[in-house]
Amino acid sequence: MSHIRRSSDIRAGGIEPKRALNRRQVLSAVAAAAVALPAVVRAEQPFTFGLTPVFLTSDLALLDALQAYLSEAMDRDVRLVLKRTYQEITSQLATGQIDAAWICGFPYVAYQSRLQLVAVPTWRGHNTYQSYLITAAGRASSGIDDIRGDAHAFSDPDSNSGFLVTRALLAERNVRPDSFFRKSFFTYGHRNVVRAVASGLAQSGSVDGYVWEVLTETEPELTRRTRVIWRSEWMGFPPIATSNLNMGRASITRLQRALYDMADNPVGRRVLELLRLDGFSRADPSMFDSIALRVDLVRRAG
Amino acid sequence: MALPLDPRQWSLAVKAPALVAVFMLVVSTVITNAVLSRLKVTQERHLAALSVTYLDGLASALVPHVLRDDVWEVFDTIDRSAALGGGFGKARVVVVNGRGETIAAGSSEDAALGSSQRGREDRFRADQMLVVDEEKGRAYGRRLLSYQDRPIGRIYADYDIAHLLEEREDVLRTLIASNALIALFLAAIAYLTIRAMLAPLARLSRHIDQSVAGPVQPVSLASAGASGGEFWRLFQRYNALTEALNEREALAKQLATEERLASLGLLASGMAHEINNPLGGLFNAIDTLKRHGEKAAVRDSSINLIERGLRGIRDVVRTALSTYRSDPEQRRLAVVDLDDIRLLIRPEVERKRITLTWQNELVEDLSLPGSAVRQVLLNLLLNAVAAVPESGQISVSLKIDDDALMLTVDDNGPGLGSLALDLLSGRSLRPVSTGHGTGLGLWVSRQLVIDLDGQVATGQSALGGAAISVRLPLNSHRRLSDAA
Repeated sequence: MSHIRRSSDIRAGGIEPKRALNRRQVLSAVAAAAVALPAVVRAEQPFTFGLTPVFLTSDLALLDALQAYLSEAMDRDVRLVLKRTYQEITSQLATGQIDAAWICGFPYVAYQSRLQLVAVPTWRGHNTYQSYLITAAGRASSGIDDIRGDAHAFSDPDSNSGFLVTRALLAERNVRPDSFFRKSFFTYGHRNVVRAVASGLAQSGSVDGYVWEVLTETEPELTRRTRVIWRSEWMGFPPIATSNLNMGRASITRLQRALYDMADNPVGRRVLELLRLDGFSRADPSMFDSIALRVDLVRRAG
Repeated sequence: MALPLDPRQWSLAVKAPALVAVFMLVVSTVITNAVLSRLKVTQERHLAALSVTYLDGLASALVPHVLRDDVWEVFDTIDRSAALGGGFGKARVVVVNGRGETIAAGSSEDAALGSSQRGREDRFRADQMLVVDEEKGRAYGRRLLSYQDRPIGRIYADYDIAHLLEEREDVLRTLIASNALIALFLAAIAYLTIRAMLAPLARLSRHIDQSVAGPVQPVSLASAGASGGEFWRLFQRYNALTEALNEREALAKQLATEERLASLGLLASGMAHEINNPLGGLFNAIDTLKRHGEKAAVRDSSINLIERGLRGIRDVVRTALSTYRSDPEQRRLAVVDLDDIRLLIRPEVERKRITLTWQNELVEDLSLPGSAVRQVLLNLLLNAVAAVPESGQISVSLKIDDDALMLTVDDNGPGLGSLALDLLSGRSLRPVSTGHGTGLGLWVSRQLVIDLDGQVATGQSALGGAAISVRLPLNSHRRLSDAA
């Protein structure tokens, strides 16, 4: 996997080269963990951790590594729960059906009263990311006003970068997406937005800037057919959250610990490399204030 | 060997292979058409089956997404759908909703989101599911999407069939090439076979050509192919023909000799008659001498009578001798030689009481072989004598005209028959019966005239019958004799 080696090089400052892993080592570590599991698993329910396809969930190697790392670090069986939409994950999280989940800033703001932050990723030294507007590569556009009348691809109605940011931009102009765009639709995945724009299905799209940047490394032939025409200001990175009900439980603390210490473990570093993240750090609700402002703006605009 | 433009003039060895080639052309055209139309049917049935399978699979995946008008999932389903297989590659798929508006297309070039695709229906007739457009190299399929028996949309698929058309062209090229090779091969075999089969015929043809120029010879049966075969029998018949021809020629020669003997016999009897006539007088004279020899007047008149009788006999004998002398030596023709002929035919002339007009304008000897000229004149006269009725008329004219001896015999007979004309003009090379005899007389005359570089002319006589003129040039012979 070329992108793994490339990411090792990028991360060379953070990880000593001799400790960098290749896929085989990760897999053997996973296998070792799986073999070791029966010995360490206690007679309790597996810890459920929700993910949405908004992230890079297409990479099974990443999911395997993440599950292996969390199980090992938390010393407990961990089950990854994948749902198609943010909505499904958020509702299951809020109702305590899953223990924790990696959600987006927008649902966090929306369900803030019922959710608690566990950690927030660090990407390129910060806990922030941007939303991008993208078009086909050859198109001369420089902002939202140039893409009026397009077929527009959104990621998810509960995504900040893949919907709310653009929705707010339009709200500032007092228009709704269905009147501004000739047609708009949801792809339920940031990568799908890039695919839709690259294939010409949509003329423009709203996409997570972090996902687009990572894709330029992992699937350059896909992003090369698109062009970023507008970038939002930096906003709080999608956090890992849990229900209020779970707060203070040992399992959540262990999860928090596992996330914070991810860079100290070979399998954890493998996960971070695949995610192109530096690590996880303590989250503060104020990080998502700008998202909350947009939610207000959109609500006022109706 | 340059081939004539008109096929009717071609030899059989060329016609047969050409016929084989034409036949192969017709057969291969029919076969090629049959194969190609069969291939076309098979290809389209195969494509239709593939299309149905492909679109059925696609439809079952698409129905829930089309129901929700889910652009992305429809696109994603199309985008992930496997290629058609069988070399068709990925079909270009457009999915429309119940109103015919595009939900998603595999490629944005095919249809923009929301654009009406009702025009695509025009390609199909009634309940047709697949339409092939050979000019564009594409095939169009469609599939109704229905849910609980209600139509909710359609799938349009556009297949690239270039490879099918290429396959057809390949087959066509292969057929043309192989058929051309087979046609050439068969034509070559036909050419060689026919040429080998016709070889005896060509040999016979050459042989006949040679026989026309020279003597007619039988052809060797060894070169006629298998014993008992067609050519063998043909050669046998040809040999039988040559044998018959040669026999006839030999017979003709024999007949000519016999004719000569016959005319000799005729003349001999005439001569005997001529001799016999004075003999009675001679015996009377001798008897008178015996009894009254002492009387000078009686003796003188008897001796005179005997002398005239003996002179007549001598003349007859001399004429016969000079006519039938087998001496091949050239002899100058004396004027009296021709007059003597009168003597030879007199018995016949008298018997039929023919009026013979004799006009001899010759005054000096001529450098012509007397025997041959006499023979010619005698034959013409005998012919005329035979032709005229009782108390008929015959006129003979002998004169010099423009350095040539002209012999003309007129009669008041029925004229010359076509066979006699053929004999005289040389159109008939062999003697045939002219009705009065064997025809040998005229034929022999003709041969003699040719030998003397002369010409024979025939025409209508003023007497009412035939006129035969023989012109014998004097020059060559005179010069020869002068040199000698």
